Amino acid sequence: MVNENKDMLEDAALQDLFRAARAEAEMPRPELYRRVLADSQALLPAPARPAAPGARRPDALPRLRAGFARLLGGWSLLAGLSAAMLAGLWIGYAHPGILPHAGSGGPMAGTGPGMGPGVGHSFALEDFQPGPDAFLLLLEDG
Amino acid sequence: MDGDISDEALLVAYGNGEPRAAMALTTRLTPRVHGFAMRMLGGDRAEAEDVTQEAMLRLWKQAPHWRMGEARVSTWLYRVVSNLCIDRLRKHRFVDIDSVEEPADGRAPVSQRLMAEARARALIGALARLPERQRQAVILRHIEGLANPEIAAIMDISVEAVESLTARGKRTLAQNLAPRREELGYGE
Repeated sequence: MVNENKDMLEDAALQDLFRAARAEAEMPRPELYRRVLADSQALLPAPARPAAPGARRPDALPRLRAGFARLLGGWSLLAGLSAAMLAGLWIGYAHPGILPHAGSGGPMAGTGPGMGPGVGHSFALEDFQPGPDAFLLLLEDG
Repeated sequence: MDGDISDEALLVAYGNGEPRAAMALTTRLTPRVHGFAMRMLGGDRAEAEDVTQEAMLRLWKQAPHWRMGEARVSTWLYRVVSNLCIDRLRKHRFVDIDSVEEPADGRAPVSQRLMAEARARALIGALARLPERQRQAVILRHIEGLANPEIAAIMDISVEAVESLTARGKRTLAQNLAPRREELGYGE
């Protein structure tokens, strides 16, 4: 190893000394492990108590309902939504007038009150397609 | 317990009352803490053991309050160990630097094993002669192998200050060890 400066140990030699110090590290004695482990057991916190299987918090259901209602905009909006849904169902069921061939064998004919092609009436695929009068009715409605 | 689990996750598990986490942390961290304390304290084993136990005790107490993502366990521990060692160095001045290592004669050790031990002892002795902060920075950087930003966090100083401390520490080490070049096997 060439030495330029006798007053300073070369950097390569210093790095070698660091490696030697890492490699020669003395391992802790078993007694030290025992002391550390004994402390850890003495200070071990109590485990968190898990919930009983199947148990449900008593306030879980009301909280769920309230959260769902908030999501939909409150109870008043929820009631309005229900009414609109029922009304739509009734209109679809009881007012087939805008549908093609209403009362004359169309797909909805006979399903409303007081209408019906009679027992034994059957439909072809074309019956489910809108006819030209259906388009006229839609144009009139705007 | 899986070796892939981080120190932080193990500490949180211990804080939740998991005893196996304590076993894993003890086997993983005790050698590192002990080795660092030994180097900081000039190779005094009894003092290093006391520091190790005290640092680990503080870790167990900290566990219930530990929050994932806030800090690394190793950084926290190195800081605690550093402070404990510096407190002891200032209080007792127990490191007799003249007794740390000096071979009985100037002859070079014959076997590689003896040479490695002599080199390690020589470095520990030279480190013990450094000012505390230089010693701490050099050990963390060049023996523990930490990056400068982590050392800066441990020592609560800037990265530039870490670089300055390690550079001055290395220069002093090189000067102090130069007279022993031949004895340590670095002669021409």
